[in-house]
Amino acid sequence: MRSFLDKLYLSAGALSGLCIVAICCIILIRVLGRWVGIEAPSSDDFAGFLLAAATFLGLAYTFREGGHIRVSLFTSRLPATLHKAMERVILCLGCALILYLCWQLIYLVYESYLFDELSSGYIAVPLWLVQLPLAIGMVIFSIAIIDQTICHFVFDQPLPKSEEEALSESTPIALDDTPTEDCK
Amino acid sequence: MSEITIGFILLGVLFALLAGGFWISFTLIAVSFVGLMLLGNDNAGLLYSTSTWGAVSDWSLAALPLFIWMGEILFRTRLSKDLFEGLTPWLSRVPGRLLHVNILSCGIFAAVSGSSAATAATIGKMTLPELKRQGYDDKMAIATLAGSGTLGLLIPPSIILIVYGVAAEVSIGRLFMAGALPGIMLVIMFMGYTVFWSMRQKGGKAQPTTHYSWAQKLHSLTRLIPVSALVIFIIGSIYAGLTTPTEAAAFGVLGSLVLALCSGSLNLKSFIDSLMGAVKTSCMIIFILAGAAFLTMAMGFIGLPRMLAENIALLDLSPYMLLFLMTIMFVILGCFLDGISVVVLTTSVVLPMVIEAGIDPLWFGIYIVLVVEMSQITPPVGFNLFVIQSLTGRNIFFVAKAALPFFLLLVAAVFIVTVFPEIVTWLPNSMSRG
Repeated sequence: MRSFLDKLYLSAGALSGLCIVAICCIILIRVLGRWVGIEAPSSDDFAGFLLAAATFLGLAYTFREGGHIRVSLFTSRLPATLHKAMERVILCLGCALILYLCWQLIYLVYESYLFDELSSGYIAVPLWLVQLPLAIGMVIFSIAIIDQTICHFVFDQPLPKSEEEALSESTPIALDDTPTEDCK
Repeated sequence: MSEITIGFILLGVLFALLAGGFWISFTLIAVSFVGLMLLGNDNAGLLYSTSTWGAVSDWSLAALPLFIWMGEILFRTRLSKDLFEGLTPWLSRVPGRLLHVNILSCGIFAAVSGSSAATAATIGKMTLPELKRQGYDDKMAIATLAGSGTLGLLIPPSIILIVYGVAAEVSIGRLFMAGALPGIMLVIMFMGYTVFWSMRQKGGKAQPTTHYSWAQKLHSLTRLIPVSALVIFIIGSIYAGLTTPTEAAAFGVLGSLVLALCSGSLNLKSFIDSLMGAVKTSCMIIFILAGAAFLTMAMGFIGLPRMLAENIALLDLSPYMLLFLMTIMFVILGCFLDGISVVVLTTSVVLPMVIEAGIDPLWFGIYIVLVVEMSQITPPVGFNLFVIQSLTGRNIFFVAKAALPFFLLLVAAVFIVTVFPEIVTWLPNSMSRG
């Protein structure tokens, strides 16, 4: 179960990365095309759709890596038990909120499907198709938050630390010795 | 319920959630829902989904993940080392020598990597031991690092300016132009102060001087040329109107991949690492922007920005007084919130008021970035100070005191661009006319 979930988050994150690569390629093709006089139709629309997909598919992965920022200035100074209780409170709040948001996004896709809505660009694509990654990403994000909540309550697994938090807790470099280490 | 009551309840909810450590993006969404509920609006869910879709499928926002990816690629090359060794020979005769290397390499590195905390950490790891070995004053070494780590927020391609441009609907290209002169001005102010400081220190301990021949200087140029060419190409093509910022960002990714390939630091692992790093940062920022779009919409329904604007108009404050009060508010906010959150909260709530008061939103973008830079090193709570504290293992008050002159220089810079707004607006205005 654990490894399945981790794979799920990682593969959604990898898809998100592929979307960014695709955005880059589409835009490069668009510019090159403009220079030789070929118009790439609806390229900006597609870049937008891919951006939406990249954002939402990466949410769960970002969450697992501690990428979503929050203010830990106050809570990190609390005593350990209070700190843990506080994390549980915000996790429960987060679960409630994400389930509602997730439902709303699924409903958005469903409505687009029901009314056969098309995108407004030169090449019209069914809107539900390009909105689907939002709903899928949000479902995976919900799973990730619920997963984290259960692990926090059952196994006392703390919230993942952000890069900045890790940075400000890392060990200082020794300034008094003559440095020999390389920078990277 | 009156607008004022709703406003105060929302402010309370906002600070309670933020202080409790709730995720910033969720906080923005939750505050909007509470506001719409208090108003009795039963379409809140629909408003959320449509505003989110509108916000995240905007193609001008595509510049954001691409510039972040470019930064992540360059971050994994030898860029920091190249900057340090390339700049050193050229600055060997300026009073303060290596301190200037600290300032300039931080400035350039922060501009391409987009994070002032990561910059301070990366450059600091390399320059601090070297400065120490050559007998430089610790305090000044730390101060230049803390101060110039913030430079990247203003120098294009800046992530925070893209966020402001998208949230406030100001052209990103024009913002990049507007940021250039104030950025250069800040670099000159920082270097000027360092020269002044080291002239005064003359009587003190003599530092070992190394003289570099012209051959060495020219050789060091070869390490600076690739990255300079990349940055000049990106900024230049935007300024000249050849490409949009998004297109320039795509070329930036391509160029940095070529640079990484040539320097031999590109392999499958570093490629995937840089891409996943970009996923992490851009997901976080765009999800916050989506939350901010919902907040802006909710605020519009409640009518808070309009009410604020009307009340400020009644108070008959001069724009200077208004800016002064806002600066204090931003510095306080910036002490515990990161720059991007400060910017999106501002554009959702106070921007209509600012425009009402006759302030140019383009100028305001640069102003707010300067204030955010300031709050990064506000003694003794700025975020950069914490990073440098842990990097050096020094007491936070020592770091804060060291960084104080640079904090004051930033205050002076905010003052200067307020009195002479042309520093910000001249370049974008003259470029778009031409």
